[in-house]
Amino acid sequence: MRLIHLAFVPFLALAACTNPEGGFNGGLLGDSSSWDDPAANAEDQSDPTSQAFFEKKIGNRVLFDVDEFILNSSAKAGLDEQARWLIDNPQYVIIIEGHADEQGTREYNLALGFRRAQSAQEYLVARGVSGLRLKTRSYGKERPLEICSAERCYAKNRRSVTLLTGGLS
Amino acid sequence: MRLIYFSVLALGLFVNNAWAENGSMRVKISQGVIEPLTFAVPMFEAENIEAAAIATEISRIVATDLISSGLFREIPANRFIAQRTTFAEAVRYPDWRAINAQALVTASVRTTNTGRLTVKFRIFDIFSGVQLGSGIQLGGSTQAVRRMAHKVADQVYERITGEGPYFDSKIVFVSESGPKDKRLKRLAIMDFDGKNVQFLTGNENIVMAPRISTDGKQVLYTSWESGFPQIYLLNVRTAGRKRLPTPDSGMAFSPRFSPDRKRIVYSFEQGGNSDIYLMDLATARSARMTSSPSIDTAPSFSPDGRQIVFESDRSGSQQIYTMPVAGDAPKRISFGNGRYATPVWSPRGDLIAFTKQGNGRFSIGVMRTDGSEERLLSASFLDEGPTWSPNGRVIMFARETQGPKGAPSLYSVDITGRNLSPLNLGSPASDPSWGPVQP
Amino acid sequence: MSPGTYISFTLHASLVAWLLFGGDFDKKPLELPVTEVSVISSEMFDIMLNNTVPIVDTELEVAVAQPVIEESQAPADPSIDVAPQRDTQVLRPITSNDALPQTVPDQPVRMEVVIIPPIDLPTPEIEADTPEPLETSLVPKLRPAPRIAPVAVAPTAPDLDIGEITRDAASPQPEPAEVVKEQTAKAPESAAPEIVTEAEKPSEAVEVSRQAPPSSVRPQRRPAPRAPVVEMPTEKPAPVKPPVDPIAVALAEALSGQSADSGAQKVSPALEAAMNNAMQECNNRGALSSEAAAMTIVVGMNFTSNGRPVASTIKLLERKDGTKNNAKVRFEAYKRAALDSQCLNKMANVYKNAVQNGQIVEGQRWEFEIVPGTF
Repeated sequence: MRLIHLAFVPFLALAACTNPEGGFNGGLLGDSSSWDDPAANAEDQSDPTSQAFFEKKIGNRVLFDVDEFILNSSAKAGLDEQARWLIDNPQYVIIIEGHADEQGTREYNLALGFRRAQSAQEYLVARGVSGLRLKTRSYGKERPLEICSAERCYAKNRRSVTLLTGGLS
Repeated sequence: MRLIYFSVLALGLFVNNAWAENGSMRVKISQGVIEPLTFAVPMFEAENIEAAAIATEISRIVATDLISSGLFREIPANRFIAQRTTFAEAVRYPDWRAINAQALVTASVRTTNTGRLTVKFRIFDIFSGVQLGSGIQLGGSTQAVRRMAHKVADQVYERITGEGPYFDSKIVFVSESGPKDKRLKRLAIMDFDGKNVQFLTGNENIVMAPRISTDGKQVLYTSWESGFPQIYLLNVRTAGRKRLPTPDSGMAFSPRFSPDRKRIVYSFEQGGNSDIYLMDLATARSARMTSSPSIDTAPSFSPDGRQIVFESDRSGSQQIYTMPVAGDAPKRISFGNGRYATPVWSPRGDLIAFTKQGNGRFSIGVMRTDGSEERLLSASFLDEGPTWSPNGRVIMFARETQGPKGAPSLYSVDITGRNLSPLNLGSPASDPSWGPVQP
Repeated sequence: MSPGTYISFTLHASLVAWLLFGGDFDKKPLELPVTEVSVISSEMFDIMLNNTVPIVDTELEVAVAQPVIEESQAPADPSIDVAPQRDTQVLRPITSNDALPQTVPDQPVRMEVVIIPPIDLPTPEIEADTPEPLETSLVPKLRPAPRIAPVAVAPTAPDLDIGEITRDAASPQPEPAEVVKEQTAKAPESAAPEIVTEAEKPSEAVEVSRQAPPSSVRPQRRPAPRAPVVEMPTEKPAPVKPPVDPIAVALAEALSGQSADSGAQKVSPALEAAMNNAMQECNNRGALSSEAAAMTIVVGMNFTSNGRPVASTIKLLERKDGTKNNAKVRFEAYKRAALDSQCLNKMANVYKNAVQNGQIVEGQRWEFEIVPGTF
């Protein structure tokens, strides 16, 4: 039992660092399109090593087709860009977050979000990002970006988001 | 003379008996109706002045409960011929028959200055002109007025229909607020009729799909409290909670109790895949139940604790599978057109409720445990997450409206598909889980 | 790194230390005393359901009441931070103190089966009231009106064969009203002069409305759409030739070639359809458990020559596809149907027509097989 407790230690270390993605509905803050991420905004987007640059210039989201967790070509292209930047900026630890649209039941969509996050993670690893820096989680259909009940909104909600957290320096 | 008469009669009857077997005429009655039973609840007698308001309240709750089941219809007081003032007075059956009241409930209520409440009641079958069963007396605290009324209603319901009780029960659910992209959620518990809502958690973290235990004392649910989906166990009385440990602290969701509350089943995530695991609560050790690259989730125990039913997309789309807890291959039981999810085993063991998705619509349905006799009970833009009443007769689920202002609310429907009606809570609610009848 | 990070790290390190060397976390669900309440024993429940004779000494399982733990309405320790802390949530063993102030108070309700005597009239003593046992089975006799009800109870409504009620005054013998076998000379249960039905079901034997003397007929305030349905049996034909009837009828039936099979003769399809039609609106299975609604039961009853069922003869004979309790509620629902004046009138017409057409013979026992049907 105590060994299991020890296994939590790395997470605690992670959490100890100042970063907006703690337990406090953290995923929200990483989605820069609907949330003002104070950290990102505070930083200079022209600084190519900044989180803001990553989110706004590189783009931290890739989208999925309906019921799919396989990456389509534009998702792969997006992840290629992300991978390059992440390799160049090894100071960040990464959480990849999977999401689903509302056209499904709650728990299945949570699991689908996991699959999408996993797909993105595996791709980034294949592109050279160190697996030690990557974690996944899912929000299922709980945190849509767009709230209309139509495909144009659903398409934006089926996504994986790559969040940067400050690593231990 | 009398003797001769008697002899002839006896002989005749003896002969008669020999032929009696041939004498009955049999008719098969196969036509009928399905209608609510009419009942009347005259004002309950208050044995002391202080009990007057409570007597009125209890009589109204009893009537409302019976009506809410969809199986009863009330004859209003303004149609009464007989005016009853005391519990002890005789029943004027013709007066109740004249207004077509088929059942009558009479009661008297007494309170003491020590906060004790006593209710005595009787049920009458008006057309047969008899009292049904014996009178019953309930005792409790004056704080338990609503529970007392629900117990009375349960007795009437049970005595007349033969169905088990369900009014004196609680439901755990997720109370929602805020806009659709920033929804705030918190666990709550309420009486089956939507009264006495109390919150069990704050709304700082997303919570999902609570499940109440068979003794109504604990709740399992999924929460992002740690930043990642994990499963938690909460005590209803204290609202104290703790996270349940999972293998390597991996992410978990969709936890459900076994009927004996010694084990739980849940979905465990590993490498993007979700499988069903079984955890022994005493040791917190988990064993894997399914291992396939498919999404396996939303498990539910059978009431005898020997099987689970769950959803899996191993066939290419979400379908429902049953599986013995002791281990064996899962057996698919859903074969209709569409996707099947959120299977929930009825407490009676006879049916499995589910969410079915197809043609852009969602429905709540039931099927036998072998998958036969599938019937859909509802349909809308988004119906999901059924839960069974403790007597296995009523299903409650969440219905969400579409669009940016869409929000969920709770609905219930009778197993026959009748009486689909909303639970008017006044604020959005989802993910209901119906607890047992309280002792 | 910022000072916050140092502080945070220190706290975490202490936490880890606590975890490694401190208490274990409790796997068991929190055990709290719960107030026990009594439940009805199955005997009590049977008493409730089965109209059996009340037992004075009821054994109640009296629970040991435990004190309800009153959870404080506010967190007791002001230093506990109720707001979630981002950095410590994974492992902190959460105590009840940092739960929300709202708790679920326990409100025990104790159910006691207190046998409250039925307020209906008690079982009349038949034996004492039947000086002529021979005729009891054939001739309806007036029962002396018992003095029980504090309130005068109205008898049958005037539009329901008052004439037959007044006839009772003419024959002064006490009548066991329930035993209406006189026109069914072949009713097997009534072969013995003792009136079995009364003793069996004392509470159902009560037919309040029929026992009041006719002179106290209370005028109806309304046109009675649903008048009391229980009928007095016709007496007129019976006393004339009671000794002959049973044999004559039996022989007639024997001679008419009715089959000696399991006992029931089916009526013609046309008559069956007519009877179905007559009973349809009242044959309600809407207020029944799923199992009861899906059951098949067989209900036996006798009719008067006016085609009205005799309430005391309505009995559950067989059941299929369900428990005894579900059969009982299904039977009760059908009994209500049979006694519902709306259908009763229609059925009486069908019956009388059938008698006139010779399709059926009076005085037979009837068995209605109530099947779930497709409605």
